[in-house]
Amino acid sequence: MSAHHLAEPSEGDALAALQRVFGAMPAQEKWAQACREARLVPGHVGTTAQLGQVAAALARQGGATASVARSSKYVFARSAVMWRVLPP
Amino acid sequence: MSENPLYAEARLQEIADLDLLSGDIDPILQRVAEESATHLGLPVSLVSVVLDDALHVAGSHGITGLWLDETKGHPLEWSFCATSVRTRAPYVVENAADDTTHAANPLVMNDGVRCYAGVPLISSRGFVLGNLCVVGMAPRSFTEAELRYLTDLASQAVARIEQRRVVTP
Repeated sequence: MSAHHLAEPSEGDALAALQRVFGAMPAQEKWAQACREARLVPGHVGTTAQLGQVAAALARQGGATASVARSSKYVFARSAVMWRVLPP
Repeated sequence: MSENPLYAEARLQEIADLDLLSGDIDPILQRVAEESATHLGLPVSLVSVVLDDALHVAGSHGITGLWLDETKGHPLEWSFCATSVRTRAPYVVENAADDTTHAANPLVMNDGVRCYAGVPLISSRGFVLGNLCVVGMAPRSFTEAELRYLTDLASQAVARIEQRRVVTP
């Protein structure tokens, strides 16, 4: 199952997804703006719940950013879904 | 930035412009999915939207009671539908359990998916948005006529999707 990346997502994963689409600087700006809106500090978004809050803020930016944010939502839900599908 | 069309900002913008991520269930997309599954005699059909890292279900048939009906999406690494975004062509898997790409996929190992046929949903602006696909729980081949049928239905789905455009050219 390791081929399916069941590790919990991280802030780095989320930022990398933005960078892949928008490039480094625009991604950093979008992430910082979303963190401000979620009242969190970039670099200190630690839990899946906090990542979800930032993703929700990204979704409110609209356009392609909202598409990436929705994608993140499903990725964040991955572990929870998998552990229901595959009881430990 | 990546050259991979999966990660193209313009494609992801097109998906947003077409309002494909709203939570409402479009009855026409549901009907397209139902017709696909019924015509090919398979239990499941999806109108999928392929995002950069995940698949979103915009229309479906045959997933009631399954976890996918609740989540309405899953990570792209489990997806069969992403291939068509890269190739812009139909994609068929006759027996996923024997397929090196998909054999270890949780949808195959745990949900029992065996056969898959998907055709791309291509917008009028030329972006591959996702797929119309059918899924079965037993190995199966697909004829050219069946793929043409799916392609025709995919055109109907795209026509419906284009009506959802929230940003005009």
